[in-house]
Amino acid sequence: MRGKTERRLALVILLTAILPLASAMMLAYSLLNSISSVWLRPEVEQELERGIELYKDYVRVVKDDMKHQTDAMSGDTALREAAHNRDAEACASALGVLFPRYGQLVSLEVDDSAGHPLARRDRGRPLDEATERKLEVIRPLSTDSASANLVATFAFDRRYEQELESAGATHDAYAQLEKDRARMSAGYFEAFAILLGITVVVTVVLGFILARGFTRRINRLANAINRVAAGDLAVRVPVTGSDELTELARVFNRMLGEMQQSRARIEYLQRIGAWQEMAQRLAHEIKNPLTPIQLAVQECHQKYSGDNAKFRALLDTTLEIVEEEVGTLRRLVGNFSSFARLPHAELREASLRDFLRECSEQLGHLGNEPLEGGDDVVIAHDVEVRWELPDDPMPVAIDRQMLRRVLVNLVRNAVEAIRGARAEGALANGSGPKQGRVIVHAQRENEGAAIVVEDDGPGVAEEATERIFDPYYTSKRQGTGLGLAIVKKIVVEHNGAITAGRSLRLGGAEFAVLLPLPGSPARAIAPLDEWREVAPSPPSSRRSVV
Amino acid sequence: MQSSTERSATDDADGRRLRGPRSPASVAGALGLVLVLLVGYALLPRIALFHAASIVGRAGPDFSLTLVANGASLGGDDTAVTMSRLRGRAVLLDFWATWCPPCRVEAPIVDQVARRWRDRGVVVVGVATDAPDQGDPRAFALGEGLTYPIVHDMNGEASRLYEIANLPTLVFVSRSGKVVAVRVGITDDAEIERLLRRALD
Repeated sequence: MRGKTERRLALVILLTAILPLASAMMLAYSLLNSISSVWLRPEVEQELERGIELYKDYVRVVKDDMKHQTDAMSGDTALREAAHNRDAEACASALGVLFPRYGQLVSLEVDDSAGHPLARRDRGRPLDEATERKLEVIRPLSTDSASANLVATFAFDRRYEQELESAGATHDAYAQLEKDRARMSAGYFEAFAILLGITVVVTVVLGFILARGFTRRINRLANAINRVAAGDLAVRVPVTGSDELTELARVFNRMLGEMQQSRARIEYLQRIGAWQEMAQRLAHEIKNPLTPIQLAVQECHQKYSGDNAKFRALLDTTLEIVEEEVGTLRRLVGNFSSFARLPHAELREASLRDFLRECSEQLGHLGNEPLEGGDDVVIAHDVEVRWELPDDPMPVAIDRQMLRRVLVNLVRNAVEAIRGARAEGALANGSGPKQGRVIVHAQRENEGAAIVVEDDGPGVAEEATERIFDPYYTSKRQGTGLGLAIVKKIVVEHNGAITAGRSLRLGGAEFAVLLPLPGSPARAIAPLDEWREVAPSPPSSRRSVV
Repeated sequence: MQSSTERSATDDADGRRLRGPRSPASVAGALGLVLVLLVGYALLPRIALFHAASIVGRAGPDFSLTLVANGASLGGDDTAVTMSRLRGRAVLLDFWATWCPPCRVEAPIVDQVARRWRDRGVVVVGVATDAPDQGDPRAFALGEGLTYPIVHDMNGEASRLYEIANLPTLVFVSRSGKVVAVRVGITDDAEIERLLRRALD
């Protein structure tokens, strides 16, 4: 079902975002609760309230005390007497007696009924507003209506008051806190819920966007895999981004390329196998009647004892023609069956440089033997064959015998092409251009090594560069069209490739045999083993223990 | 008297703290969560299905991309190809890349068809999907001897619009701008011409 991955991925992202957030929320919530339950206790509030009451009581007691002191002072008979007489001096002396008795007094004054001071006594320094508060107590000094009054001014230490105030504030704050507590935790919860909601929306959107890019690319791969499963290897996955999926797409594309290559290889080998089988049958069918034909004609030629000179001449000619054509057919049949019985390459690791040196020694010195000689002999007394050996050892996996045959065929082809061109040139305008160079050299390619055979002959026509490797395709009058077919078969069995083109250096044909590095064949050769009917088993060198 | 009322009040507060605020808020939160999950779950497959649908039968999305090769074969001196301006002509979009070997195989086939159909109201546009560091489509097109105009879809815009999953892909767009057919993989010339005829109808 489509869209499943998107949903799963979004869900996973959602859960990974929500779980920590939700647990953080729960944690914060319970933390808040436990903190508030530690700090906000009813006992604390009661204690606070009790403290305030205590302070209030204390202040009241102090104030009452001052009032009582004033009452006591106003009861003083000497003072009352003096006040009654409006005797300022007596008042002053009475105040002088009373004043030192009460330590909290700031000033003591006797006013007449109109409020004018009669006598006054103070402690010598004024009230300090910062630390003291004034408390004035007025008491009449007689019972009549026009009585003089005693005005006692006390200093009340502000400290008590401040403490009372702060205790009150603390209590109020506490009470407020207590009241807000429920609202506060609800507020926290709401904030978290909003945060959670935002996170959910963001993660769903994010997860969806992420998942879409992801699944789109996976769908591309799935599409391509479907096509490949249906047998179509000619698709590629676009390589985008720079992550594991990019790498997957790249590897998948490479795999398709390799599958195409090995499929082409298998198809080629199957096709060439069919050709080989046909060659085998053809060789068999042609070869069998050749001997009876030749024997019959020889018999005719020998048995004729008549003296008809004309007939004798006819018989001679017939025998000559038949023997020559039978010889040609035999050679053709030989070629056919050698093509048909081409062995499978057994690859061993070797140095390409050493191999080429060996070839140059074996093939280069047989200078004067005729070209038609053996299969393994390359001669060129009129063509210069140069072997350019590389310095690099160039390790490759090759079958020496068979790769030698490749080189023999390629060099012989080049020599024959040069000769053919020269013969035609000589026929056409007497003396052809100075021709006759073949160069064999090796070079490193990005994924292996290449043996290049180039010449200054006429070259290969561009439209023929593919077909020249097909069996029975030839441009030579005497050719069987098997030489390059054999070459290609061997090269393909080496997991390599061969290309034909134009030589830049010499102007003629250039054949490049690409061979893979020794590590790589195992992979490419695997499908070939299935195709092979019988895999050749290596001879056992182990002695059996009896 | 006073202290007893206070006590009962604090008891209430205590009870609220333990049960009260959690239930309404957390229930609302949990409900919201479930709701969002449901909405997300209901929404995502729809969007996913929407993007999985094929573009065949829909109008070909518009894009404008810079020409990198063979611009002259369009008959103007434009420096870009804009889909909406090709309305009225059948368009064959060839999505390819320089690194893609099957595209290399298909390119000459498309080129031959493009040559044959140039005068019959058909525009063939090659859309190179290479990322900027992947390859040079101009060099590739000239090297392969292609004659149809090539644009470079450097940031994958056109590929995204046309939902290109694999390469090579041919997209056939009719005269009215509707996507008639999409072919993935190497398509032979007979099939291309059959679909071009359909795009011209």
